[in-house]
Amino acid sequence: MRVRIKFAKKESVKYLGHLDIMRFFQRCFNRAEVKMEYSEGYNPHQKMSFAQPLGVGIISRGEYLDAEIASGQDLEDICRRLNDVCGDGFEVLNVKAVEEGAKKAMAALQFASYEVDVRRLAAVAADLGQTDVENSAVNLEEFDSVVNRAISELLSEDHIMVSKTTKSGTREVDIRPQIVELSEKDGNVKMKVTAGSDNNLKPDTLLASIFAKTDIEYQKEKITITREELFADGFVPLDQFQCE
Amino acid sequence: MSINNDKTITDTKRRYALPERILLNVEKPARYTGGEINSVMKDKANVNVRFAMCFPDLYEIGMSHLGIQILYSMLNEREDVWCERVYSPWSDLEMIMKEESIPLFALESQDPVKEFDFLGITLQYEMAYTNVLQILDISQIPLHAKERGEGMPIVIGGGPCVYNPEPLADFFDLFYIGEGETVYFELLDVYKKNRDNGGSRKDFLKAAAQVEGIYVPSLYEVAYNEDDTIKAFTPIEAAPLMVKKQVVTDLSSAHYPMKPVIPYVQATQDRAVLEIQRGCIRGCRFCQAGMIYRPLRTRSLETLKKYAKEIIKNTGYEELSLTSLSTSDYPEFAQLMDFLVEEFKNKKVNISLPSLRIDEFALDVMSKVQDVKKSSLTFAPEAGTQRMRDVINKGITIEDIMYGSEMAFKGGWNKVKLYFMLGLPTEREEDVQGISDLAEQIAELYYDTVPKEQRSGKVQITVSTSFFIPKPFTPFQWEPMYQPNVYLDKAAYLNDSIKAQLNKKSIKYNWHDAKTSVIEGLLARGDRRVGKIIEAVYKKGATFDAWTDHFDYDKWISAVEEQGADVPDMDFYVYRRRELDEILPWDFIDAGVSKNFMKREFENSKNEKVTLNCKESCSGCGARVFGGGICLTH
Repeated sequence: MRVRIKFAKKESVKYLGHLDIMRFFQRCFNRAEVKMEYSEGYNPHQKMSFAQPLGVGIISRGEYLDAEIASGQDLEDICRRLNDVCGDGFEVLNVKAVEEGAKKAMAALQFASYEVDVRRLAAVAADLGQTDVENSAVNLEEFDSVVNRAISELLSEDHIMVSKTTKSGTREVDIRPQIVELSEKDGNVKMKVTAGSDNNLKPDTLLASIFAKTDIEYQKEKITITREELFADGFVPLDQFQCE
Repeated sequence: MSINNDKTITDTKRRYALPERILLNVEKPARYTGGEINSVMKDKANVNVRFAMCFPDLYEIGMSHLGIQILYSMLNEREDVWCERVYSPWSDLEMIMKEESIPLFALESQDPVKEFDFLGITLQYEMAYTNVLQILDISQIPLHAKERGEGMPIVIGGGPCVYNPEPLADFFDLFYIGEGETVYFELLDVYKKNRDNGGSRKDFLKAAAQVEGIYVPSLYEVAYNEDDTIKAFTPIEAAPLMVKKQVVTDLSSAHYPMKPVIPYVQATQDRAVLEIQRGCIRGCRFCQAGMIYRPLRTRSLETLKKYAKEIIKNTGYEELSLTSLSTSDYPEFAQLMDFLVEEFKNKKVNISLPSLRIDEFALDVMSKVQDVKKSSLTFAPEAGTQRMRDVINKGITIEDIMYGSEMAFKGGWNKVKLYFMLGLPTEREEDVQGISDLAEQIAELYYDTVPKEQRSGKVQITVSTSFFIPKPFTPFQWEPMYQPNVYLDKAAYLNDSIKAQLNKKSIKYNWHDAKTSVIEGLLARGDRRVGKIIEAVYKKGATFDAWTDHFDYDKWISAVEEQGADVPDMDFYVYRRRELDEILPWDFIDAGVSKNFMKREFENSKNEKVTLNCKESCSGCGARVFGGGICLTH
């Protein structure tokens, strides 16, 4: 049977790459003694697939992987056992059975939501260096109005062309149709964008476009991106889409 | 059904030594952030001794090493000690750390290494020596032991290279000679006692020299003859004349890491490791490991069964590798394999078996645990003719190889790897030719053995040669090396010869870099004065010499040539035959295996006389003094 596992990737493991996380989960299943289904052949491997790789440096409370497991196992118990062996950096949030014949998470995926803490950019803009923003007197009101003006301006455009570099070269892409929701308050940018293998918008790309419309210098290493949720069609979170 | 509500998105907010702007701009930042499953966190306020254990190479290499996992786990069992790990930063990060003056840190606490009580560095291969200086340098610890003040860590070296620690003598406060499981606790107790008594760094070094197996280079003076050879090697301040190698006598009761640290970043050896025995009975005359790890000691079958199950359960690894110098020599190998195959067949755990001698049983076992079509057979005849194999005491005959190959071909294998050495003592042209002929014979055997309709393509034979390096504590320790161009001529001769064989298309030939080999020879065989060369080449920017694309021979040679009259040259250290009565730089180490035995074996090699292995007959090497292992039973 197929199960969908929702998990969080936290601060202390944010620097792991996607392949590292895959290998990590394989071993978690083994340590938790989950009975898995394996591929055929001489070197059988666990049947699992992730909804969407998460970039290095990004944390998440809405990651998904689908795994084929032997039927007849208590899913709540599996969830508990996985949490016992996955350390502090990950948390398994739920384990649900996927309906027979349902799409895999990676195929069902349509949208992703992110929350981006950009307060340190405000601190830079206010010339406070890299100091602790929680305790510094950054004027977020003014920052908010600048960023919001940029967002309105951006959303009023019919096309937002950005250059995208892939293996086959650099090309211009219109990201306007990929933006579903975009707002900013108190130094937090919230966005809902299209996601998936062929229509993916990276939060970093969108943020760069926003700040390009301001005098604030966009510095990738001064923001904290959290992926909040992954959705199927109709903005249904993946753990509620074709799951029992 | 969300559980474990005490877990939050910002879990343990680990504090990193490197800021995010650096971590996001270096290759594989998870090499530097620690926090792996089974890594040990302690409260530094509650420990007395902080130990940084370093493998001076990239994280992925260092995390593959069993010895560090053993010591890490063993030291952390002590409540008063916190042992953490340190690896070499890759060049991208090294540059940033130097530019911004960020001191090297340990992975667990992320605290600077220079704040620790000890910095232990394992010396597994000579070509990592420049990395050792890099570690000290970016840790902001003075390179020279004599320049380190009271607050600086005690820098201690261990591992196989300490059987000649002299080229690194200036850079280390201590060396631990032998197996780490025996006197580390005693050494740490001496350290604590000295500190409690208000003793100085020097007081500790003097006290440490009294711990068996500990060598304190600053307590020995070396005098040289006119011809640059060693005149006298003299202990001062009551340090012992000879330092005795440490040996675990009962391997079954020795500490073993049941919960090894599991790296997030894929290690080079990404699997569970089960050390089934230590030492080797074979006595190959070129092999340093075969001499310095004597006597052979085995872990009991019951211990291994228990460890295998437990380690796989604790790690979730899909592969278990049996490790030893010669796996087939494990006395209960058949029972062990039966157990492992049975235990793991439904758990999808692969068993890997390096260092296996190919015979009927081995092939049967291998066909159970490996994909015959994909795997290859490995033979290490080491030399191409029987005469040459007798010289090096490699107890493998052409019949063994042909018989093993024939059975393997019948069993469906069609890939064979053959390992040889070039430049062995007494080597003649016909010995080099013999390598080529042996490869050809095996290729022909394949076509004779396997009928056309059963062949899955050509037989693939890979011949690899390394250049022989006479290592300390081997019967060949007095032998000279050749100049790089001589080695390359030999490799070229062999290459031409293989290209002239009938089945040349089935035989692939690789050879090692000759220039790396002679520098390895310099570092393996040098004395204290070689430290100046290592320092000079490091200052020219050399690091990661074990990585082919980083190694720069010209830097090394110019570092050798720039030294004044007080440091001898390559001719002296590498290309010279040493006299049997010469004081060798490593003579102060008592490795159990005696110098007389090595002289005897050197003589036997000249007479092409084979010495029986430890199971067949005791050759009186001297390792019996340790009172353990095979010496007790045979």
